[in-house]
Amino acid sequence: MSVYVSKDGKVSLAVGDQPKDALLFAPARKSSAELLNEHLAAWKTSHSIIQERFEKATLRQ
Amino acid sequence: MGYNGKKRSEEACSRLAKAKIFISSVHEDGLRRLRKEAFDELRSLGHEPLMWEENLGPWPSGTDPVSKCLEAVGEADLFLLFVGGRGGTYYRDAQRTVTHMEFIKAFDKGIPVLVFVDETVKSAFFGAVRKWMDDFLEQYAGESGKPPSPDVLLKALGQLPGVPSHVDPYVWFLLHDLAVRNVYMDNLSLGVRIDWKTYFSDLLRRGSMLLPLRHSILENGRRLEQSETAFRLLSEVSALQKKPGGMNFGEILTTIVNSMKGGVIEQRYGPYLTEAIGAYGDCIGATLYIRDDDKMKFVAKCADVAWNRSFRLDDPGSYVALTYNLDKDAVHYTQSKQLFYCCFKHGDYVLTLHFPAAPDWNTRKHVIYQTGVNDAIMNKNPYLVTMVKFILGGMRP
Repeated sequence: MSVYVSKDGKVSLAVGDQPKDALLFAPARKSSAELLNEHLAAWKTSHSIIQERFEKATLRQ
Repeated sequence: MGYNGKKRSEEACSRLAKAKIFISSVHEDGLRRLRKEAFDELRSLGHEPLMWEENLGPWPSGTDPVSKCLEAVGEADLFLLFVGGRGGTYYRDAQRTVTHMEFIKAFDKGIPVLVFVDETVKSAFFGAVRKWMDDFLEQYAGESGKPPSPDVLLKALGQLPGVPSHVDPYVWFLLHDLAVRNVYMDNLSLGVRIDWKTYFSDLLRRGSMLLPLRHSILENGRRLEQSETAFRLLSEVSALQKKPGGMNFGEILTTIVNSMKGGVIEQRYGPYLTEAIGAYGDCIGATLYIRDDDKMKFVAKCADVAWNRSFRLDDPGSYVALTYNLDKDAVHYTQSKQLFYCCFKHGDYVLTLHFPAAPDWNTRKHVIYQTGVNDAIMNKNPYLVTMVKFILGGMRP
């Protein structure tokens, strides 16, 4: 992830040592909505795997 | 295998925990041989069976045997229950037999239970007794407005015609409790050995299928905790609306700040390893700005944090203006203040949460571990962030 630095009135890529008063930042790679959707999808998938596995495990012949 | 190999294998096996299996039943002649056979066979299979007459009791005088038995049940990994025609010793205070209490303890602790019921008893129960009991319970509750006490029910069961006379009424009471709890009951044919190898092969199959789910189950638990935190925030903000005079932004920010906890910044090495490389404290304050033409105008703040009446949108030294222009959420950091500024943009708003960085955090670390910082602070709980943005969406200055 690229890190940017704001110093002396300019924003640039942060390369090398930076002064203590520099403002460092890196924008989010994914929006919060994308992250939430990924989480919810993973939760759903995980839940269905658990459910399916428990059904198989408790199945009586 | 040579001597050393055998010794190593024995040492490895001695470190493995054996399955503790509690064998429970009423002490009746018909079940005595079955219990002994089960105990011997389970031990020969390498398990650790627990049974009163073999390796549990009797305890020294003065020790309460019922409490000790229940304690042993609580330590078991598996609970076996054999039910014949005898009810066992009834404890009036508990209104249950010891065997029944042992079952309740195992069930309550979530210990897997295997129940074997004499097939003639089971057949009579499911053939007629269960329905009679269900009807009796319903009728009694309808007439008196409460369920019957076990004593009343047992007395009625004692007068029930057409059931095997050798079966104690308490057995029906126990079986009804098992049935209500959806416990599967296997047939027990007295004189026929139980094929324990098959039972344990099935248990092994189940365990092998379920154990790999550990990660998924733990992850889902974590997600549940995260959504609970988000839901709690929403409830608290909703409660503010009910206050006289309605919501004010300062109170909303305070509620948000209180829900934002500190944590550890980690470096991930694929799915295999994470290394703690830093930490940050609980959120200490917040500011809220809204776009107004060519500037970001101050709306509200919480706690003693730095703020300006406004920032010009082209001010490169302002994390508020930078975040607005990026049109993305971002975590900013300055070593001179030793603070992380976690900025969320939603619509015309930029909300900044202030988190103290641990004293050993610096610009060099920040450049190297920026992904870890974003994951630890901004992406830690997407449910909470979504909720904060919902709240921001509802704000109208």
